[in-house]
Amino acid sequence: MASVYRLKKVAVERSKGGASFTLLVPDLDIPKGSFTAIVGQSGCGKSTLLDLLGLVIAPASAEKFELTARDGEQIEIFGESPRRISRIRRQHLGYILQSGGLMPFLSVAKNLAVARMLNPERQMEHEALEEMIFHLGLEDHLAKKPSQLSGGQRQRVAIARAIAQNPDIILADEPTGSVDKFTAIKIRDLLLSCAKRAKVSVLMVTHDESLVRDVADSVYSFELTQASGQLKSSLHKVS
Amino acid sequence: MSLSLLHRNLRPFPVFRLALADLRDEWLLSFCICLATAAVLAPLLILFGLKSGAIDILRNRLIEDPRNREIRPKVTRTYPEAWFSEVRKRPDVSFAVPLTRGVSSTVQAVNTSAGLEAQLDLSPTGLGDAIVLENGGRVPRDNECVLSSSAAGALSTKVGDKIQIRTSRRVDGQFQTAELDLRVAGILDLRAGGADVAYVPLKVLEAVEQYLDGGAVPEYGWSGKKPLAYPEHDGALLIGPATAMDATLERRLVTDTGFAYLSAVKLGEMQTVAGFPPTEGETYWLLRPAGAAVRSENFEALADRLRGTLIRAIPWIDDLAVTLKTADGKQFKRVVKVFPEVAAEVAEGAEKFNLRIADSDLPAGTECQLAPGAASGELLVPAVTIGRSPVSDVLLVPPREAGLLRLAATRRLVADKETGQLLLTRRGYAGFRMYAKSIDQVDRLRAYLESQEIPVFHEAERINDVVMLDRQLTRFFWFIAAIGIAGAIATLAASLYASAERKSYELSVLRLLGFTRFEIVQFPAWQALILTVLGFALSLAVYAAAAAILQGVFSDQLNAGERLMLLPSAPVALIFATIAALAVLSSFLASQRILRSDLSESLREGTG
Repeated sequence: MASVYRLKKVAVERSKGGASFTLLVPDLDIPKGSFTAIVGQSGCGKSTLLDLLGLVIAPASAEKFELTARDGEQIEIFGESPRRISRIRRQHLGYILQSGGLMPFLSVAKNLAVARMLNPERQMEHEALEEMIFHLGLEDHLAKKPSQLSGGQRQRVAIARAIAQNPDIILADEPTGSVDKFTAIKIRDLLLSCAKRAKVSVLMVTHDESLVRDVADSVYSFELTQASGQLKSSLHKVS
Repeated sequence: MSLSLLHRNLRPFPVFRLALADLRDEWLLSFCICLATAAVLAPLLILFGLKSGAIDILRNRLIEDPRNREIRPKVTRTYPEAWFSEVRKRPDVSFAVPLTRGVSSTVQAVNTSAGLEAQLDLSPTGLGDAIVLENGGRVPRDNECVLSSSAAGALSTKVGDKIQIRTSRRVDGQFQTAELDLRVAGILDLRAGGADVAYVPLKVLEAVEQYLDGGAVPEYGWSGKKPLAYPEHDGALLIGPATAMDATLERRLVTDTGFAYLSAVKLGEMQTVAGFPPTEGETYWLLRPAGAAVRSENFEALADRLRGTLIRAIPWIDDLAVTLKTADGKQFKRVVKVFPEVAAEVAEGAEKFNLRIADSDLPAGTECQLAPGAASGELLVPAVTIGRSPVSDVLLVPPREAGLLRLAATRRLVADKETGQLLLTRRGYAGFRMYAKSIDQVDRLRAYLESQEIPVFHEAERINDVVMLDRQLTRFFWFIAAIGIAGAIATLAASLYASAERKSYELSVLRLLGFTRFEIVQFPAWQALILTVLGFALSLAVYAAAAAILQGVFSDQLNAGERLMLLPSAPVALIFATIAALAVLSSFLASQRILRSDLSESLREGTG
């Protein structure tokens, strides 16, 4: 199966609380249309990995850091200019943040409009959009501001916004972190079902392995080592 | 809820729309920023309004008021017409009009329809009179007048009404009154002055003065004496035996007669001096006056001194050049000499004044005209030759007429339309009313007039004081304005900076979603611009309200058309542009700080 992301021997160096932290990604392959989960305890490097894949931070070194678009275009990300990185983000990546990351001053409909505006060449069909809104149960909330919604509803809007952007992959950072277990499962299912309909890959970072163990196509975790005050975390595939 | 909401998009100007939506969402905060901006800007605008309104009104009243450009003589003197022609050519003079004697410029005015009467000062006016033109009036034509505000009030007249002016004189113990109807062509603003004044064409004042002097003014149907011209001579030619003159007589001839110098004329010079050859046995003396000329009373005194002697006196004039014009268009240059033998007084009962002359070329009985030129300009005196002059190019004229021709050369005479008699015109004017072109030229004009030994009333010092005051006030207001602008900028900049900082999370999310740096910078910049515009608009609204209130409160003290508060567009636009530019700059600085911050940290620090 073709990959959306393909990383080989990528290293990220960061400073955490005065100590240096290195994240190593020996090999990461995210197939198209797959659901990949990244699990681990706090401070193991989940967010750093997500920042790397979300092009928020740049790697210190990389043998391969490649993104393959839906149309087959292969983009070598390492060494790209900030302007180009912005463009890649808006055209190929969708995000779901733990807090939703919605614009509080815009209605649900306009939050979706922002996402659609970002990627005009690949705009989602109106019918598909409406279908997704019904699927997520947001049809009665389009005129509401995020502050008028519950946590679960906000996350559903965040899912809708990420899908509406029509990216190649959705990067979800603890999307169920602030809801109860029941809602978390519901949100997970909605995310996966929406992604499947839109044929979008999903990479989800979570500390709750049980939430993804049975449904993820592949699960990755981290192995932490500490030597001479330097913290190293290496990504490896669990299943 | 309708799914149609889904199909709305954010184009065009997506960042502007997002910025506006954010401001709308936080409308209370946005309003507070606008209010804070207006709280600083509105007093500044009001201050500007007052500066350019009230202060400019004061300045205009003091500086632009034509009364402050007016220059009046302190002393009465005779100012000939030529002097006015000269003065009017000066570049610093906008208007100059002669004044008649003060006593003859006061008249009684009557509004016959209202039965009201008032004493008015007549003031001459004409084209370019600032006091009339800059105070809501227009220059009156013949039989028109423009009234000062108080004069119009006293007579209860309005524009278009007719008033009658009356002036009275006493002749031979009897009162006589002359009347003239004038149409009110305009009423001046109160600013023109509080006195009861009627501005009229100069000829009306001349007519009143002439009437009060006993003269007639045929144009207005006022009867009186005609100002007949009188002969003036340069001296007397004494003719008699040599023995008839002794030292005693010589002394008597120059005592209380108006004559001062006696000299004998050499016989060889007689032709040149007198215009005719000497007669054998006669001696000739020339008696000259101390002043410029002698008149009939001087000759009467002289005749008294010569009574009982063998000496006779005939009036004498210096060489006087005239032009002789014949009916066939020929012109001859002639020198006028007095020759008593051709003296033929105006025939009693003759219809027209006619000179009897003898010319060297023209035969007796030739009708012609004499042009004395000089002061009398185009005056042509009708004449008829009654003999031949023995000397080439010399015109022999009877003594009295020679004296009239001499006067015509030095003073403007006109021929009476009915009788042809030569009439005196006015010698000059008692004073003047003059306006400098601008207040800056008043002092220069004063210096010019004082160099002519004409001390004047003027407002130069007061104007200098006002100009200085205005300069100081302008500095004072700009100083306050600078502080105000700085305050407004500080308020707005701080608010916008804080606002952009508060948006740090949202801007980070937008960055994450793929908004470019330029788009991120635009977001707070648009908000800064929108808030500046709204704050400014609010300030203008407060200003407009204050202006309306103050205009109403001070309406009693304001003249028509005066606005207590005025906002000149250029400085206001400059203030707006400065504040907007600095507001955008402060928002730009805030956004730069956000863009430099770690996106990853910003996203995780935010609460969403």
